[in-house]
Amino acid sequence: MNQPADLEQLWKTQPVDPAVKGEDMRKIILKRTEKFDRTIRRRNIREMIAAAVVALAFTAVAWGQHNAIERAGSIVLVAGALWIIYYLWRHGTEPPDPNPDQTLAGYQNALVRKYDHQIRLLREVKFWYLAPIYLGLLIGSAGLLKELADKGTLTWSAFLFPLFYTLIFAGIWWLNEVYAVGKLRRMREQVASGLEDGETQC
Amino acid sequence: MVAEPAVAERPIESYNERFCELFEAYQPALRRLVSAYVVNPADREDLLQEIAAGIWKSLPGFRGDSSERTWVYRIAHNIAIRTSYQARTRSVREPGLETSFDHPSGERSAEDALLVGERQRALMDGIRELTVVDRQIVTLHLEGLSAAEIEEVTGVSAGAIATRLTRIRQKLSARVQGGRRE
Repeated sequence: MNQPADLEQLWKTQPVDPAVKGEDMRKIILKRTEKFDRTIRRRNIREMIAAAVVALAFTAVAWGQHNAIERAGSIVLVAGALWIIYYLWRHGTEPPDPNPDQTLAGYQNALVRKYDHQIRLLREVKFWYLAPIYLGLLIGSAGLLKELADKGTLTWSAFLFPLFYTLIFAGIWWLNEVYAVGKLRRMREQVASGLEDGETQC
Repeated sequence: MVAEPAVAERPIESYNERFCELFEAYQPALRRLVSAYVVNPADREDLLQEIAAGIWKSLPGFRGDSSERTWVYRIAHNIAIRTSYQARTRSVREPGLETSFDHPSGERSAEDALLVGERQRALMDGIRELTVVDRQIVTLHLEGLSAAEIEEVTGVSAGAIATRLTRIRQKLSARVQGGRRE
């Protein structure tokens, strides 16, 4: 049987990757942090520009619109796009990672809380991002369909656009609420099961 | 008595220097720790950078309530554990231990080196198969931390640590001795 000292020796003499100077590592982590912040900032700016374009375009549409229902749809869309800009400006930052300077159980609890928070944020996407735009599009489409019906020119092809954007919105909903939330849930379960292991066996 | 300047009032240069000193002092231990969580060289480097970033961010909050050593290990293990959860969720199958890096014992015969390499591989495989708490306890123990220091890092009582260590050491010794998977 090996003595503990053997294990310690095997552990301490294991081959490791070449060393890096402290100053070089400091530069690497600063670059990493800046890159991460820049990615988030650029993503938010892209989303805000897209929402601003939508708001401007549908303001013009609402302005020249004679059909009251279509105009209402455009106004809802503009309001939704402005709301998205506000939301991203106000809450567009990633929640920080838990402070690692705590005991394992404390850190695991903090991780569970972080995952819960992220899951809640992803579940809210349908309310602050999808619903206002989708509602505006639905109202606008209803107005257009009514207009076509009044003129007697309503055909099945008029339903293609509503079907198209419904599928797009359903896809975005699925990505957020099923795929991303599912992934976070699995991570949360891993952490929670580790927490149970620590609690039951200590 | 002259009061210590508040952490926020300290010049940023002192944090830079302190970080560099800390990182260089603990780098070998941190690299061993990283190997207990991930095998792939790119993942190892990534995890080391995350740990370094964790130390860098936490440094202004370090008030010396615990020893510097336990503080560094606490941060490192917590970040390594978070990363290992993410890796497991991504279902990344870790490849075998890489053999391309520098070996500290260059004068060993090829046969001895092979044997030691096999035993180290068995030890690392055994450690990676442990639960996160056991993994944390045994790696801290192998780094030479006392039960009281391990308690400070993990929050697990010293008594429970001793019980766990007996069981883990037996398991790992059997693994190293036989090179078998349990």
